[in-house]
Amino acid sequence: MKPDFRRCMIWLHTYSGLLIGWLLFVIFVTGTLSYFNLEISQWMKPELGSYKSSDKLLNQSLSLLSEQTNKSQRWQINLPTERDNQFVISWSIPDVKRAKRFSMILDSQTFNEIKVRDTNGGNFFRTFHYTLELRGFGGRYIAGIAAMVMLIGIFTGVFTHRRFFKDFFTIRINKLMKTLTDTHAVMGVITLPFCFVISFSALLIYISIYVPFSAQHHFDNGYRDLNKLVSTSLPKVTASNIAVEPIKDLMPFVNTVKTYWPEKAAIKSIVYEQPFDSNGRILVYRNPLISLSNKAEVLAFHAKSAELLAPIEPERTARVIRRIFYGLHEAHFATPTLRWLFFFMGVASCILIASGLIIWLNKRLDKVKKRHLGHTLVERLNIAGIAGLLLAITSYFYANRIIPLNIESRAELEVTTFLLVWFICLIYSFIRPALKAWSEILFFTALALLLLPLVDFLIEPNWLMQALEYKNMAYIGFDLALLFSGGVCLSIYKWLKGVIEKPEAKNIKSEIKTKERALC
Amino acid sequence: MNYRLNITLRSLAAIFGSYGLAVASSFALVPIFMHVFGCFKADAVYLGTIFSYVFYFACVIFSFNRASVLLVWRDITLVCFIFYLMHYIGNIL
Repeated sequence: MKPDFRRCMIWLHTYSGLLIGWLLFVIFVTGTLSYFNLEISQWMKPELGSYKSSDKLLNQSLSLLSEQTNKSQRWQINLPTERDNQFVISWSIPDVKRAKRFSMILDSQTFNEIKVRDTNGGNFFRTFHYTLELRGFGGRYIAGIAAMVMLIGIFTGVFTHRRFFKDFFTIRINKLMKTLTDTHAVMGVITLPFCFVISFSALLIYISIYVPFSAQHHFDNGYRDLNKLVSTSLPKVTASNIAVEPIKDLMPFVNTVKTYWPEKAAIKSIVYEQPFDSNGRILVYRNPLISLSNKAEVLAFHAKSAELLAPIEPERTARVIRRIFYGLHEAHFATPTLRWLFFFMGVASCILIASGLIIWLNKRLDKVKKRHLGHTLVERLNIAGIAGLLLAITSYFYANRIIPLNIESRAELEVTTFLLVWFICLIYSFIRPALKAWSEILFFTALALLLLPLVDFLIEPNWLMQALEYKNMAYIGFDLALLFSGGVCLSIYKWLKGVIEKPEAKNIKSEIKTKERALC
Repeated sequence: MNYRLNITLRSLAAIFGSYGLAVASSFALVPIFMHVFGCFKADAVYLGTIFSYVFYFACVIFSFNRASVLLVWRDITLVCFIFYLMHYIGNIL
């Protein structure tokens, strides 16, 4: 094939990157947005308002739950957090096959039910980044392949550098091509560990569907059995069949919990199992801000005696490896600063992938005289895949605000808008000259992003005012992020315009020179 | 050998050959984890599956890097056979 190892690796880097680059870009962009899944959801469900959480909500929710039904087997109270402003109570009633689940989103001041608009919110990005809207059609397999190729891209990319340090400290900004190569190199070095952890953990998350054979061979029910054997959980509640009234005061539990979990707002949710049985049990779940692992920390109490029950056994190394990688991938533990750091690492990886794709094309266009069909295809897909995706995401936010609230299957309509705008960008990229299409789509995106906070304010000024009043950083932060990314898009547009105009200016100069010569 | 055929065969080795090898390794690692590291069976199966990714990755790099494509396929077959033997012996133990 190629004479030496290094050139082999460069070849592999080039072509594995080209084949799967657009897919990786989409996955990384939507995945990066999912770091702020809950914050984006909060912005997209403005009816939730901006209220602070407290433990005082608990007792009143209990009395609300007991008003609902006396057949319930399980009550759950989800307290609102800084990130996720949803205050939800839910209860389930046993049915023939599966328990029926009901839930209510509450206003944390008046305890009235809130009607929230039908939307997938930020969760759309989260599911899209690993199923690609193709759940049931192998979407998760495609995402897995992309993760593997990313790992290979990282490994082979390291060999592409001859001068690792020198590359890291150089950025040449005069020529488009050189800027791109240097950006690609710098971003590659910065995001090396991040990309490794993200891609590897992505593969570990879906172990059960990527390499299921060993588990299928050793256990009757395959991975399901294996999962039960390696993970630990609390024993099921044994009903005593002695009917009692459910307890009404959760404060003793909360006080005990405080001695174990001293941090502020430690409780994420409370589950009351078998509330009408004398053996009822109360589970208190901790906010996942402390541990890397994705295993929920929980304290279990006997409801009537308020006695602390035996904790869950710790899991063994095999399971913990996956738990920690899973936790690192989702980053639920991240505090705001760390979350932004993760976010910017994600953005840097997106830039890495996008610049790689553009470099492939430009390097070849410089050399060839006659274009191959492949060159045109890559050129157009770059436009639709990179700039088009940004516009499509922006249109998703617009759809959330503009589509009337009472329309049926509204959430699906939002997703359709996203896909439709993306498709329109693809067509648009084929009918316009390449650089024009780039700068025009970027310009639209910048304009749309910059106008969105204004549109939001015009539709309902109260949302923003309330967020300001309650210092709801999720809402304000989202608006600021929109303005900032709009600004970035605009400056890229301006820079690109400069790059387009420069060669033309040169042409004009040389024309004048030739004319002068002709005159002479 | 024809360049295109060469690349095609290497890619096939990288995609499907490596996958086969990874699956074989997920079987072969089970007895190793059980008898060498003293894990429970469930843990051994779990770890074997996790580590099979390492073999997949290594095999992809290897398939584009070996001097001849025939050697790639020979080695993959050989390693798969060794993995099968390990699995077989593990079953007897």
